[in-house]
Amino acid sequence: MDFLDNNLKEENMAFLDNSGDIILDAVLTDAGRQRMARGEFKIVKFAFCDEEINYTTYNGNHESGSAFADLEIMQTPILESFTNNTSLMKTKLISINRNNILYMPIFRLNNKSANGAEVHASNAGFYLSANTNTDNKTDFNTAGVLPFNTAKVIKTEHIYIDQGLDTGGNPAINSPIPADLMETAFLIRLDHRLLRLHRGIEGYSALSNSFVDDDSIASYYVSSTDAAVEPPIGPRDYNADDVADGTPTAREMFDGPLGNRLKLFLRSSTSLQSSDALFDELGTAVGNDTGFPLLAGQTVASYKHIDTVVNVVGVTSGYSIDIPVRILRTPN
Amino acid sequence: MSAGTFFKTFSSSDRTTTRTLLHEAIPITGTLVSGTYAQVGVPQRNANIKTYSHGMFQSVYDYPYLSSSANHIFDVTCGFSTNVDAGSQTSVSGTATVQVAKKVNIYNQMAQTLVGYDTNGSIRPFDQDGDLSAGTKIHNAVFLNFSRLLVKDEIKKGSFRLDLGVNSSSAAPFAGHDGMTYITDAGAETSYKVNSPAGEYGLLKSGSTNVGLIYYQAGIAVLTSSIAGASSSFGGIVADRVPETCLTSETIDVFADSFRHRISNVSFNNTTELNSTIYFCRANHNEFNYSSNPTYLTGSKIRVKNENILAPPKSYVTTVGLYSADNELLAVAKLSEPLRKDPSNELTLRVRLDY
Repeated sequence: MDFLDNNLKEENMAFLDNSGDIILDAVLTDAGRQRMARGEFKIVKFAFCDEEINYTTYNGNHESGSAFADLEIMQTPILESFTNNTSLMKTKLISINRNNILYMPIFRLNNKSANGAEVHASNAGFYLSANTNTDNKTDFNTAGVLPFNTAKVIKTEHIYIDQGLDTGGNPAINSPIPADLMETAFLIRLDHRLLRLHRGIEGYSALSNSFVDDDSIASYYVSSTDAAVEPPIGPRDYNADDVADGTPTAREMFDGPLGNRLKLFLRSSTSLQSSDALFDELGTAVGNDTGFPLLAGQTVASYKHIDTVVNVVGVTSGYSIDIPVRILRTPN
Repeated sequence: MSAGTFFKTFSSSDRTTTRTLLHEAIPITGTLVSGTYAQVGVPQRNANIKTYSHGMFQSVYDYPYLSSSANHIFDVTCGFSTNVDAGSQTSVSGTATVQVAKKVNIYNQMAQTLVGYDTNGSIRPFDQDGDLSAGTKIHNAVFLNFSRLLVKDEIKKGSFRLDLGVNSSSAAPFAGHDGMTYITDAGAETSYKVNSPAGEYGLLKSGSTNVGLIYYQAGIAVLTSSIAGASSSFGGIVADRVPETCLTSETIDVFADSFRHRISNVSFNNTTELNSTIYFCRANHNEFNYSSNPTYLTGSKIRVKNENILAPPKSYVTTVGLYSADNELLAVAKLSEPLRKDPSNELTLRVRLDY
């Protein structure tokens, strides 16, 4: 019966019809439906996003004039809505109350050994030991390898996410970043089944998440007043010495004005510490020690790992960075 | 909105609610009800007709009901009362011999739900003109209970139509000039009853004759068993017998088979009540002009500025996200094409969420 077909709304990933009037295709996300079921559905704010747009197609020197500069952008076909709350709104539009800005702040994962923040060579992110047993087999002298037991920290002590302007030295690194471009807070999302978030400072105190959504993605909100956020002044005054030494980027990722630095540390969840179940479901089993940062004198006949990402978004700049993390677990 | 953030909080004037009634046409062809999915050896009961061991009703599906693709369309059952008022239709309960208790139970269940109780707590019988204080009662009835899947919130008043074959030959129920009767609730848009505990209902008529009731919110049609007229046969495939006779001497299933066999078409419009919240997402001239899209920058430099610090920033909206206070994405709306946003324009995007 045809009329029944009309009632079956298929989830698909088609493009929206853009041949006529501009339409809005609105759906509740899975998290929205879950909150509705719990009686906690309340919309209080909105954001705009431009995730389909590729600004490299903007041609400011178009031969037909500036009116044609964004011709290709305006013809971009738009996908229908996803319902997965974490798959959307990746690149938000932001409001800055002035127009004379040429540089926007970005994030970079600090990879400076001088900061004890070096990343791992193979995934440009971090390896994380899941439990004490894995700690005992792991060489933490390898850059980018984080222990389960923080007392075993040797080489990579924390994860640094730096904000700054990549200006090539003009303005210089010791110039102040405009106040309206300084991050006021960070949103961090990670898989709550796998990871817990800690401050990357002495004591490695745990951070509390704001909520865990229906897909087990935990969201953390870290304001610039939190101990995990370091401003480009105070403890980071040594930049001045680096500048004086002619090595302004010895500890910094930008040769330009600096913003806040977010200092994090990761620990595995209780599930990962005690069981292989999630490794079997989400991870990979390796039948030898290939790729394992093996401690001298130890042997690992096999191990398992899960690859995941930690997403950090700046609340002021909207800039987003994904940090690759590989969680390792050896057999007990 | 504070400068330098990507969220903007709604004010009370950015939000409003509306109520909309949405109608769909629901045509149910008679072949589906009585013949599309014929089974070898069971000509009167096709593979899309589900019967139950209790025998109190049968269900019509749009496809063989054992398939997961099948959708429930409606149920058919019948019953009679035992409480006969003077001047009313004569109940056949006294002469019934088959499934008497079940037919009485069905009638009473439907009556207590749809008509309710009198001041003494007794179940009221169905009334042919809706005036419960007087007039002809329906004591022998056929019930068509339409599925919620089709009815949605309610049947649209004035849209119901049942085409019934009343030819005396059960083998050719639709044949001949007088072989059809058309039962409708015409005029019910402006004339319906509200004295039922189950909501609003209208009178079903064949021509000018009252032949039943249609309960709009409940999605139930109640037809008098004398619908085809005393002179017509109404035995369907069982035998050419008047409905009352069929009601007394056949099971509910056999009666339902006979009745289905007489259905040529059923159609109505359903109604879905959409309660909507409309969010006005307003972007002022100095808002949302920059992007965090990685392609927006080359290094840290804004691409659309073309090296000119004084050039106005530009961004392109494709998606609107609606958030909770703790920044969880609760709803999302996509535009069909990008909208340019720069300091020379302002946008108001109207996002409607239906519940």
